[in-house]
Amino acid sequence: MGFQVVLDILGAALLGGTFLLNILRFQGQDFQVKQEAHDDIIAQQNLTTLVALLEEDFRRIGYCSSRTAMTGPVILCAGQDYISFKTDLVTDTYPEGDGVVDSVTYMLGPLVSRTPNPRERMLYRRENDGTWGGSSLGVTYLDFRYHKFNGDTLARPVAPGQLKEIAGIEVTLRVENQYPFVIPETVDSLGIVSVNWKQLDFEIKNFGRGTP
Amino acid sequence: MVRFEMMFLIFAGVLLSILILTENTGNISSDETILTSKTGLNAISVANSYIEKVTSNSIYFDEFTRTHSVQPRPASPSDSAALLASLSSTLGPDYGETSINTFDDVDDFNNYNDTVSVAGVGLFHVICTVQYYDPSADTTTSSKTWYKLFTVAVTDTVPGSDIHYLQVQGRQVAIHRSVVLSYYNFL
Repeated sequence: MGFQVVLDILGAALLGGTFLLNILRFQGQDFQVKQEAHDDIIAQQNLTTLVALLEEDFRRIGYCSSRTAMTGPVILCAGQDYISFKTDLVTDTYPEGDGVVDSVTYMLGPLVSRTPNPRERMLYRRENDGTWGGSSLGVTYLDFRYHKFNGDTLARPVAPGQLKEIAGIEVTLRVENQYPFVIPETVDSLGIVSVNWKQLDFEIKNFGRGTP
Repeated sequence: MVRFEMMFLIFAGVLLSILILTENTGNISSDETILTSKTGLNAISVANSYIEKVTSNSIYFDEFTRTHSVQPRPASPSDSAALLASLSSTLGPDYGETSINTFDDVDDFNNYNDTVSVAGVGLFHVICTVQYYDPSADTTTSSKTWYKLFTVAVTDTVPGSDIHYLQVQGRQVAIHRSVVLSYYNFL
């Protein structure tokens, strides 16, 4: 009888332990799945924030509220991960621009080490000759492609003599989670939630407005 | 007694299985929602690209206005009314316009379709339509007007399969974006 009781207890402990281990493992996996889903949502929110900023600036390339103020090519320099262009920045006093030609520069910066994601880079933005402002928000890739009026692609960096031929810009942006659940060991490791965004075309509405 | 214990044990196992299955179903549903959102984001950017294209400086309102200047109302209402008949009767590419790079007016995009690949997301299928538009009735019309409604519809598939993430309750849906384009002429 005593031996039977011990066997019962051992059997119950074994079965209970198996159940408990399964529950714990399931709980761990469930937490990871939920965390990764949460990371994905954050990455998407970061992406939409950056895209809104880019769209606002890119749609105003070559615009100036003073019709005669814009002269010369509207793109100042154009490379694979940087671009500088003329525009008319809005202010609180002048919501449509103050009529003075400004410049805006975007540039993908070097890798940053302040977050666990080893691929994260700074996305710099500068107005005129002011200080560089930057936000990362998990940006890991930025690519500009340029095409002419007839659709032909221009080689990058675009030669100064060809800047006035840029009629459209294709932008590809990739945003990843800054604090991934599983931290990759190297820059090339996979496993980070990423959200691609590819605006195939930004047509420069004020193409040819500036007199070369 | 042993029989009851076995039944409790089996019952506990069934309960645990139901719990795990329910939770997994919830996780899969959550993943699908996120994928739909991610795909939708890219589909909108693809649609925006075509709206950018059709509103660019290289695209005229009509083949006729590419070569003729029309004085708009109220400067010359008779001019715009008389010349309305000169606009395209058939909306679509003109002779020799075989690719999007050769399109030069809005209605060339009518029935244009394309497939766009976005790395890491999927394939997007684009269909463009152009119709004349009546702003007073806020509807499309078969009559010629100085307004054209450009609509782009985007659907998605995972490459090499017929799986799609742009869906509502399991049914595939398309992202539609429209813009009304009008003829204008700066004097």
